[in-house]
Amino acid sequence: MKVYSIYILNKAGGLIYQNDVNPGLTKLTANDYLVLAGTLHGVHAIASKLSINIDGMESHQESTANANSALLVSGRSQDANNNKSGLQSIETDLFNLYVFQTLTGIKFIIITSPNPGELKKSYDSANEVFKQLYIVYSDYVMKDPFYSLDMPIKSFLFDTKVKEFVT
Amino acid sequence: MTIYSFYIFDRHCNCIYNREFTHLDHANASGVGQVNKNNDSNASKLLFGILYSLKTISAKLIDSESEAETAVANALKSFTIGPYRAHYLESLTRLKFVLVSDDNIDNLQAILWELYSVYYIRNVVHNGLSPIEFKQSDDFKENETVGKISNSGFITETDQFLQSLRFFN
Repeated sequence: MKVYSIYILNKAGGLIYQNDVNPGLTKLTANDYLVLAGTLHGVHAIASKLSINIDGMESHQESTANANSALLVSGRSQDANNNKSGLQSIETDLFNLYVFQTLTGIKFIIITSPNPGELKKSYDSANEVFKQLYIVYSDYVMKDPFYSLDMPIKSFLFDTKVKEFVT
Repeated sequence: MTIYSFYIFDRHCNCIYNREFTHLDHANASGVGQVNKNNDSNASKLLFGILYSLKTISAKLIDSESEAETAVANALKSFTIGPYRAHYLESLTRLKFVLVSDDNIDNLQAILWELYSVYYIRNVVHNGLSPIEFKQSDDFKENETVGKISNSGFITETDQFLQSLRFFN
């Protein structure tokens, strides 16, 4: 599985980081990337609405609250991916796209090469990438004293570290 | 592995066929469910909205010319929402076939293709009594109930076909 691109969306659906780590995707204009991020954010929200419609699952808001209280009670880390009812992955002929959501609503999106016939396996390797990405994000973005929340990430160190684990 | 529902959308974005399967615990209960009950429900509209956006995204992200051997635009195959996976096939006439299953089924493209090329063609396209467009009148209003496939041959044959699949239940 080859990672083509990494996007990070803030909780309002704004694109705060975009990195084409491997060639493979069409180059879009900066505006198109923003539209793309907004669309994915919207589709993710509609998808959670749809899955509630289908089986009356508890709403996303509640599950966040549950995850928070479980974290406080047990003091142990849970599965970092809070994306339970929203859009999780897209498979197309030429790429796969995976969505990871943190407890605070930040979305990590990666676009990878397709891996026909082995969806579970590529899902697991995508999760591995997300884990690394989350660690690097926490270390080099969240701990950066000059970074303001929800603003575009312009950290050279973060760029380097991201390139390190995807290549 | 389970198949939950089957939708067909026409090129005017209308849900022209909707089949929902109810899976009960005891045997011989499969085949129950609803036919054409939720064509205008929010769920089918939301599903169509998602499909449409994802289709646009997948065509946009990879240029068709960059892949010389594939002349057509990059096609969406499936997407996962929570515990569900929706499998998608679009015909050249922009009919959209959607099967909703659980997330253990990787690929249903062949099944969708068979639903279209065998059952839809035989029972709807070759059927002289079936309308070409399922939109009923020109002064079509926003929330008006539009035409549906209520052809019993199509319904029974697709039901039989889907229920004969080993991963239906």
